[in-house]
Amino acid sequence: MGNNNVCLAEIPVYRTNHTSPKTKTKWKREDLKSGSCIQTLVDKENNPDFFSQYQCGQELPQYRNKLAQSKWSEAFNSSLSIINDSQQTINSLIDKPEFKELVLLGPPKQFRWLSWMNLLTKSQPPISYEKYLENPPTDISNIMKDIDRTFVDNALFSHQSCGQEQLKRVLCALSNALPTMGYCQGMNFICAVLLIVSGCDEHQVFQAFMQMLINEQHLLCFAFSDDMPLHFFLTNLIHYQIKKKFPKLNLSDISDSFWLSKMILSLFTYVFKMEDCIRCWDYLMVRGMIRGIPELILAFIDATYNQLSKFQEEDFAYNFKGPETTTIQFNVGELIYLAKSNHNLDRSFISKFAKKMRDKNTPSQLLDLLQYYHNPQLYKKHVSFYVSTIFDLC
Amino acid sequence: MSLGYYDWLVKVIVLGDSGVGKTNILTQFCDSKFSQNYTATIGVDFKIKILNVQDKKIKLQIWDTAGQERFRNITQTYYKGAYGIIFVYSLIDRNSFNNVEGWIKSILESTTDEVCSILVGNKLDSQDRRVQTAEGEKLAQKYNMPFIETSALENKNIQDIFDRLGQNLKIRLENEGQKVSNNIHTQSGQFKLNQEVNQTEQPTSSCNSC
Repeated sequence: MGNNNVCLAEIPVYRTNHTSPKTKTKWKREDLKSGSCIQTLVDKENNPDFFSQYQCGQELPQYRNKLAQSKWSEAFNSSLSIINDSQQTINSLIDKPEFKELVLLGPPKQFRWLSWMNLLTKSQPPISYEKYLENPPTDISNIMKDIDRTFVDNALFSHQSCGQEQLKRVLCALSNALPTMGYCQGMNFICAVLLIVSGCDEHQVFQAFMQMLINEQHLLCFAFSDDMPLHFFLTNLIHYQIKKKFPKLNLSDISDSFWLSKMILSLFTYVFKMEDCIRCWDYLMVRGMIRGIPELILAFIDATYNQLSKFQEEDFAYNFKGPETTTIQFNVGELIYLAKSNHNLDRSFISKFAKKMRDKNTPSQLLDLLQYYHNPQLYKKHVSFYVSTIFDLC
Repeated sequence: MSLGYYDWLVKVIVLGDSGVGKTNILTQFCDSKFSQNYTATIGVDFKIKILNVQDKKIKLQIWDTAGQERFRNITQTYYKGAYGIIFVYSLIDRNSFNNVEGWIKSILESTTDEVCSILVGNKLDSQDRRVQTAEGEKLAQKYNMPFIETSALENKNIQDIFDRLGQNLKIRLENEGQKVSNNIHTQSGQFKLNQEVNQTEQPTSSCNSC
């Protein structure tokens, strides 16, 4: 399943991070140090030197590090029978307590999309894609403006008839399904990554994206709706944490927020290379967007601290324009390790921060919901009620 | 990555609807290239370029903004301290022209400072024109700003936008008197344009020539 190719491309990074581990973790940093590379099938076919160029170990093309390989193999071996079908394999794994750990280590390519789908849509009722495709949304002109300027360098989206058509349909259906949110720039990049990883399964991409928008773990609808409350909540939270954890880091006034906004609203796709971005999404799927995004951003600052602290204003301008121009180097495995071990945010911290940000004069539904974040059941109940009231889904 | 000596540092913002070519105008001006495979801007970006106006060097810090209405909350936080505004619409998108007044008003609402503005109609290369030159001229006259039609694709009149804006910026900056200019001279190279600095160095004289 899926046409993304993940392989063993070693990207050694010798750098010390700024903070020390907060919690004990089962992994060593070295376990995650090897990187990954993902290309679309078309890209690969276009490039006969793909395997040599990226040092893909043909014998182990699907795992990116030894620990992931051994853990996934172990998990398969303990399954009762030998299963050939990917779906059944994942089904046999999802109820195991270590499933989330396995995804954090990096799923093999044929299981990544299934792993994401299971994390996102497990026990969620499917939402009718066809129904929301029936009519064009009122904001279709906004969608059309972005269709031919979303990852057009990627083979999948370089031609109108190929990925662009699917991108358009999914975005239109999302806008119809959540009309009070509608289409917002940033969603185009997220949708494109889902299409790439899913192997262009637009039905599943729709289901997955819907859950990213309305599931209580993620609530991205609040990042894209008017006033973008989740974006402002997260930037505030991140600035607070930066002051606390990196007090000496002088992010100059002009540049402190604009790149955080890009990371949040495009889920790193605007800033990171595709393969790094997809690895970060492994983390986001397991952790949920609400905690996953700030944890990864803080880990990014941690991992690139020495580079960022030397930045002049021009450097910020050059380095956050897109993955092609950046000179910042980091190892994505290291990023995930740091996010998990050093920058883990408690549920109660999210609640407290939401309560602190609440303001009687400007009511915020997001903050009203997040104040219950410390109590998962209660929080889930409130979110379900909110979503069913605001969005009439079928 | 210092760009060397300059006389003034000026913040400029580029505003206009989504897809009118704001990023392409800037890429053409700053990097002398046009990218067919361009990308929608998320939030804001900025570029830095030194502009020579007669004997003076103006260091432009140009903020490129996302055009979609919803991003206005984010982009508005970058309006403050701007000396120059470039309003862009597309000659082949009638709506983008109709919305220019909305953009102008958003500036008038959020800043009380006098700014040097210019109105730009982009995509002059296209055969499918929907906004006549006279309409652009009339709108520019109404708000007392220069007007120019450009093509980022063919690099037509792009330099002119900044030359004309630079002329007006220079006149205005010189009107401010020696004080500000001296102040920046001493800090040249490390001077950062931020809110506080702007408030103290904001000119009080109005800019009739802009």
